[in-house]
Amino acid sequence: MPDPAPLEASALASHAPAGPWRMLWRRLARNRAALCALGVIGLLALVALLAPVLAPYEYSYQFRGAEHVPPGWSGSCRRPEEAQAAERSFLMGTDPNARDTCSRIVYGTRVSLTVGVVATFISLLIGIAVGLFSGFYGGWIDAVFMRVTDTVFAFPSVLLAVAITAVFDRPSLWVVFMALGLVGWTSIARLVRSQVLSVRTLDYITAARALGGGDARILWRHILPNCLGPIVVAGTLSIGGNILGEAGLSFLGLGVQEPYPSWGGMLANARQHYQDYWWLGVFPGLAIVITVLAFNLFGDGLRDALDPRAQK
Amino acid sequence: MLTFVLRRLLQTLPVLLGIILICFVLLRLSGDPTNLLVSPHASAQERQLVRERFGLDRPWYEQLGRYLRFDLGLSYQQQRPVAQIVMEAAVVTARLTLGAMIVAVALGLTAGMVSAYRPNSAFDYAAAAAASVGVSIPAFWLAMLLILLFSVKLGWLPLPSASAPGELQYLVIPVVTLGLISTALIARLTRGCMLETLTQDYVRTAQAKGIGRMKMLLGHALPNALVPIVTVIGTNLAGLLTGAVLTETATSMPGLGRVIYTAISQRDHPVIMGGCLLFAVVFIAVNLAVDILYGLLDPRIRHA
Repeated sequence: MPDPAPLEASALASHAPAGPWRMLWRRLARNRAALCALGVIGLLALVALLAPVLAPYEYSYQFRGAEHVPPGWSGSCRRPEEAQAAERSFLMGTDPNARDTCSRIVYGTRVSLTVGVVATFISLLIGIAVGLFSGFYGGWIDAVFMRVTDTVFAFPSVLLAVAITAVFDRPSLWVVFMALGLVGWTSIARLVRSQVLSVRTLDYITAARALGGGDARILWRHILPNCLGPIVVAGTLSIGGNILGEAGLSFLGLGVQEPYPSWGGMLANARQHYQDYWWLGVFPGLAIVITVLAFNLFGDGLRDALDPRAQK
Repeated sequence: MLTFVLRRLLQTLPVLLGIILICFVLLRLSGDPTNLLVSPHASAQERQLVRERFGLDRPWYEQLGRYLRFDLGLSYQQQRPVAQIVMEAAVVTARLTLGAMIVAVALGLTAGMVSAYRPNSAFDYAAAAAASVGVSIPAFWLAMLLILLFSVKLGWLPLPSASAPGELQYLVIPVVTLGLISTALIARLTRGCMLETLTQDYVRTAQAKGIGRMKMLLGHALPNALVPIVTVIGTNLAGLLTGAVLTETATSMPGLGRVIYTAISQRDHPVIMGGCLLFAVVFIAVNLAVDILYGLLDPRIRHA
């Protein structure tokens, strides 16, 4: 934790001026919601990494005779033929296949976080490349790229993802990555382009060019670092969006396939049963909301920290 | 104004073409659909017949040409024109989306204005928290929760059923679900825009003349905050439509979302594409309408 003492004093004391990342962290540290969100994200990452250790049971293990056990601490199976599950406790109950909901939710963290991060990474790659070239070169390159961006943007994103996923024979994690990643880059491309446009004509770029910097060097060393802040914010927010997207695709049966658990898939399975067994419909959804909320709040916090003038 | 409308209309053409192209390419990528339509033991003659029936024997440019004329072809499963299936369902979805839009605009504008009226009040904080959750919650899950609460626990509303979708009480949960999700965005934006316009000089002038805070909010701040709000309502329609797909699936409404969902599970590609295409066209049309509305609300944009 950085020292909460007056900022000016500490900045003066250490002779080197605080770097941009340090200043960012200091501003972020003052935002309690964002810090909590960061904590939750850290916890979720741990849960995903340590799923085999943390999950009470194997995610696909079927406790015969313990179907639809309501959530509880102590074994709630009363009937003698359920001996196998008698001393077990199911924190979040069991599903119609007698699998432990809690274990499945723990493993589901892996799917959600992986999809959120990988799909965002794909979006960032495409979006940054398109935005940089469009903004830097302008002219017909810009015109073509922006028309393509408009077109993809005009497609309701989940539907384009649905179309992409539906075309492949077997839905898999990779298809979900691609579907969400290939859809989400448009807003990032627009953002990067507008950033590049505002930086491109500044004096220091002219100076870099006068010193003999080539296009690639100028783009990579001088323009991209100046666009980084908004890109990081957009990326963080898009992780949350992609997790929601994955849940939606899985809910439509297009995501990760059984028996591997994903939160959206668990809710899809619950559709027929949750009216009688509420826990099937409640816990996976709660997991989605907490995760997405954490990324959104952290992204909002980052944005405020990067641009202190905004808000308030 | 007319040239402005015409120019915007022309600009949508390449986007529309692009979307048709994406749909078409995706459809072709999925392989030869003949295999989905006939049994593996079918004779070459039978295959040929089926191919002719669905127009699959034509060269690719002719098939693309059909799409360009908005001829969506036949459903593999239902053996009737895709356009017919899609339009029937679209009526249900339109009703749902429109209802949701009304809920969202009414609630969102009110909440946003009350928040701006007393910034940093308890209501403001509560509304901000609710909005944060609102943008993070999956529509289909909210629908499930509402069903659990109002249909199962309290018994106030009927359980969702695909057979009686037209009646009002069946519409309540899907409409409210979808509406609440968009309320968050609109409320946030309304608050932000109102607070921003409140710092403008003309507002201070009005204040100096001694007008009440309420009158200032409604008469001076709101009209000027309207442009960004209208934009978000427009772009939000995309979210509303995808939300509709999921909400309909969760509440068994026979709308477009439901049709697309069934088509996916039956691998009925023409219906999937037809549905997506219709969505995209509606989306473009709404964006166009928003742009034109913009021009009406703010004369500066018209001449840009």
